[in-house]
Amino acid sequence: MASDREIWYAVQNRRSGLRLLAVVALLGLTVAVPARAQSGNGSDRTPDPAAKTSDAAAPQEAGTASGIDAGNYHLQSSVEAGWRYSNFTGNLANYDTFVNLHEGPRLLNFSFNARSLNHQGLLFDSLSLNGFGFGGDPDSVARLRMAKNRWYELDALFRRDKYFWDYNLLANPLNPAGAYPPFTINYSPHALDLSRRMTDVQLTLLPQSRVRVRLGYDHELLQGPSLSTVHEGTEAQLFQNWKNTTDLYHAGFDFLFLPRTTLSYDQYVEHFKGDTSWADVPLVLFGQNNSFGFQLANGVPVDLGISPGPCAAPVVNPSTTPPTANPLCSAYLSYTRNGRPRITIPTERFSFQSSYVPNLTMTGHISYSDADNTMADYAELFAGYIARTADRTATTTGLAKAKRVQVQGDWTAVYQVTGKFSILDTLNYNSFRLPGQFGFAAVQLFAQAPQGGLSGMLLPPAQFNSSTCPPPYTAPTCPQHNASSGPDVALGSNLRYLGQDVRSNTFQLQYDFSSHFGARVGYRYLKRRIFDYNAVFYTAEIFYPGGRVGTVTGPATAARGDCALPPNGTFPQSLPAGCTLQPDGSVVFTGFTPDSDTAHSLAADINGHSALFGFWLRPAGNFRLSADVELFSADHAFTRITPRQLRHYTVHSSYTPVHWAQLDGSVNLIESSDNVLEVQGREHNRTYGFSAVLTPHSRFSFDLAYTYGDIFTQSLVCFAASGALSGLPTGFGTNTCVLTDPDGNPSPVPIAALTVYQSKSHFASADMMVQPLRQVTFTLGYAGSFVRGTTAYVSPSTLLTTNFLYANTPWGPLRFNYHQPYVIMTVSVYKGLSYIAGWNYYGYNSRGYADPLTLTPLGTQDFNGNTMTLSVRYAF
Amino acid sequence: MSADARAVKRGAAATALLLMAVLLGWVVVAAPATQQKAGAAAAPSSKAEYVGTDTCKTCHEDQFKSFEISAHYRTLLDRRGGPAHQGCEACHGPGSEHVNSGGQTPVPFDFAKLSARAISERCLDCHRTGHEQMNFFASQHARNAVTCTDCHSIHHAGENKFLLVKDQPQLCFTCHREVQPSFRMPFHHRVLEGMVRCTDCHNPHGTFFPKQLRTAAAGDQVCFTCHVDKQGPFVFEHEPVKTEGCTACHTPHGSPNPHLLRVANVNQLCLQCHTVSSFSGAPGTPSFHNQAAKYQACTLCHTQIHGSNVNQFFFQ
Repeated sequence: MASDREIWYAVQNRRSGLRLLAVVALLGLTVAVPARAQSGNGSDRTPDPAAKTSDAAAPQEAGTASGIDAGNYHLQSSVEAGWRYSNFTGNLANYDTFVNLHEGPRLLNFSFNARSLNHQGLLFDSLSLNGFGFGGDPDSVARLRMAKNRWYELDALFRRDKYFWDYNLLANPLNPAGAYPPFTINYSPHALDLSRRMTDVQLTLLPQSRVRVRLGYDHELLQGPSLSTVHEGTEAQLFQNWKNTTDLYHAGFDFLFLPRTTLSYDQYVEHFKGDTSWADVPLVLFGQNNSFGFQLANGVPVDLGISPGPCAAPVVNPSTTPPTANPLCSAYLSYTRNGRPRITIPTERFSFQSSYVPNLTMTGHISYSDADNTMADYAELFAGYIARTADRTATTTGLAKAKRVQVQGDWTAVYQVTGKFSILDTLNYNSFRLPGQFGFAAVQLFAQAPQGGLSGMLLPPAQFNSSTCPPPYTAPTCPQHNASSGPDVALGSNLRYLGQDVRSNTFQLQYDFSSHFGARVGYRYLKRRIFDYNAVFYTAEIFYPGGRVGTVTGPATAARGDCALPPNGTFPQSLPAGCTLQPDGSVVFTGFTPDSDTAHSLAADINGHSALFGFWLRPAGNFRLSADVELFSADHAFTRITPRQLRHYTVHSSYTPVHWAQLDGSVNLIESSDNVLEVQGREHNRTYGFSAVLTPHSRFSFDLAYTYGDIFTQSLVCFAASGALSGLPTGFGTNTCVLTDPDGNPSPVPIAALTVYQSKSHFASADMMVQPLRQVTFTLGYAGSFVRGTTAYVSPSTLLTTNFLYANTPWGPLRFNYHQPYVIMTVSVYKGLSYIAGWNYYGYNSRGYADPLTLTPLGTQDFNGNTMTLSVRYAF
Repeated sequence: MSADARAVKRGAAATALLLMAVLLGWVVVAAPATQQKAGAAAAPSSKAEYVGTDTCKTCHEDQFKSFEISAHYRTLLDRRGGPAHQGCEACHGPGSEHVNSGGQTPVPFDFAKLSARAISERCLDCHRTGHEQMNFFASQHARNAVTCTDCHSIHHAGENKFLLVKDQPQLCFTCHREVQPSFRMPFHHRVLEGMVRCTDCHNPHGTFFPKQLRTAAAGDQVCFTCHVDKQGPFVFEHEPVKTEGCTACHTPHGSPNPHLLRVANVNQLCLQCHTVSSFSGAPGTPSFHNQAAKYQACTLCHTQIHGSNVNQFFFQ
């Protein structure tokens, strides 16, 4: 019997198949017309390295078909279509997240090229249309290029990216084993099945004239179903209906009036529409049943969430269907959230390029961008129960507005002082100011006190008025506020500001000692200033009284939040500034909250210095080597993970000992640190690569590649965790975090630990092409990634294990082998007609525990996938 | 700042200005002579004359065939620049001496014998006005003597598009081999699949920025070209996204970690910044974020971590 997931894919593939039939029919018309005039110059298909990257027959090129002449055009065309078979075992969600190739008919590749024989065609001199991956593959691309000499150049690109994500080792609650009910979650609470469609069109008019016109239009649509979560006492699984649309319009002009000088002006207008919405609704998605799963005693469906909050007994009667939930546990009866941001970003850019002055080449640009984001219709509606605050419903509406004004200017000059000596200077300036404001109106209704054997969600929310909650506000029908309850009504604005100025100047001297060797030395100065601002202003923050301890004269629950009384304060005399007692017993706060900033403050002032070195070497025509070194140091950092010291070394080399062999090597080393005592940050990312490409014969080629990578990250972190730590290895961590914030306040969390992440990887690949017969070509190869990593998990229960560095963290991303072999056989049947069979294997194997030792098992992360693609290719 | 420190700073500035003035003076004085010297190396003999592409074709038929089907053929149709900008001699220079000597005298511009810079200059004589190529001489490629013909082949192109030696990404991997494994990781940008190209993010001809990175239309990080929903502006910005860049948390090419994160565990990533520090404004995690009570990722609640319009904690 097919599972929900299989049915889900069956539907997807059926739809894809119908679309494919339509595309094939259209393409057939395109190919059929010139095919009638074919002169029969079919040729053997050459193996394409790209074909082995994802799937055997996916991105195949047109081969070497010589084409035909028709009228004033020389035409070449090819089409490859077939059927992909697939089977897989293991974790299907991971297979789809990593590979996502499924069964069905596919238009694997097509191309059509037309070139004017005399380069003076009527409508175009050259036309190229090609694409791959249609019919259900995750990546589909089609590209059209057209050009007519001196008149226009057109480049249109369409891409569709099927973005599937269901990797359950991220954003997963991983509830402890033994929790009741046992919330085993074998899927990602943030799973996605999105489709990103991107269209990019660029048109250049009069490309060779003194005034060029450039027009462009880009469109992106990202939409599809997905899952998200929200926290209202507990985390609920939400259906996130994703739909974001972006349109970018571009018009630009190039002026070439001065000799060797181009002046350009470009205007961009980008418009973003966010129509994504969220809702807690019972539904089956991603093959998982995300229904509420519980009911109240009155039969109303209730969602306890995917990570039950601190509720001792979430289920009061497990024998009912569905089980009956505790009405005083945090839970959701309904939740919706909508808000449609509209962002417009006009950008003007002036740029120039000039080599008018002898030996001096200069380029530069300055741009101004003024982005405006308006979300006028935000609405969030919650009904349920939040145990900590006694909330029963919460409604928030508001208007959000944000702007970003950005000025950017860059200038580069290269002065060729002599034939061997040159000076280079690059100046970068980037400044943005980003003010934002969210004006909100929030209303919360709180629970009534238990009455008539009912409590919590079984009772309607309390209304505060003189009849339901008269003085002294202790009636059970009063809102049952507690010290953690927020305001009943809040009208105000949240004001934010972020700004940054970045300036840098790079100065380099380069000397080419000969045509075989050159070296350079340079210096870069970087200055960054970051400002921020954060304030909340309440027009009215209303705290109603109510609750069993509430009275008019004594400490009342109306005095809470921003109007909470100081220790030993009296009510209402000791109410904080801005708070006033109203005749109905409520307390109203007006003004900025105490923790608001009142001025734009300087958050960081950073000065950085880099020494730059490099050289290139070409001792002979068949060998070259280049190296770059940057040594960077800064006096400050904005975040704890921004390095204050960085050393970056790169080496690239290539050697061709004989014409049929090429050896390449590269090294990339990044060492960085933030060596202040309170961070103890240290990182490195080291990569060493080598490859050999051997083509001793036109019918045989072989290439080999190996890369070793080593990533390490370390920093001191503080966190909260119940239970005392003991038995930690020396230098790993302590029970006491002694760090303080910029105002000197101590850390709110007690535990300090030196967290470490390390990942060492080996990558090896080998590919071989052999053509035993003129009509038969085999391409086969293998790529394997072998990753071994360790990390320190921040949970004490894992720290306390003996083998703490290899402890309870799921090892999916840390330790695995990923094998990707393939074989392609191409048989040239007759005059441009080829038969192609390709096999790909995807084997992902975790090397270690997939499941945390003390948590509910998640199941295997491994999968084994096979795809077999049988296709026919026709080219002329 | 103390008076001594100010004096030192003034002295350093004055010294720097003096050095700059000397350097500039030397440049101005030396420039005409060096310009002449540099030009002499590449300039054709004054006696050489242009003979036309048809003459070249008589001996170099194979080269002409590749030239004939390439975009360079259009130079023959544009007579505005005269023979110096047309056909074979637009690149190789006037060929009369080469022809008259029966091929014994090399053409003025024999690309196999030119230096990397001379090749680049020759190509950019025509191509430097394009927006893609305008920064080439300042590019990291140019500074490492990578020239046009290392990636493009006028007569033996493997790809029709831009006369490339071979297609992306294999062409880029020739030198940048260390990047290739990233695209084989479980989580990666789909470069090998053909969905994304190296040149979507990098301009091999150079930009104003490190790693030859492009920018989005508004001048922001190139990532926002596709990941538009992360661009904002938001009322509540996650500040490092705008100030430090996407790579503060993500490794762009590929990673063993989900969402291309820099570390395997999302909580570890968050705590690296959200630990109180005397210099950092990032708030430390509050005391009720008990890591022992819930084994869950920070992003389970802080879902809108790239920025929010309505919630300072990125809940909604």
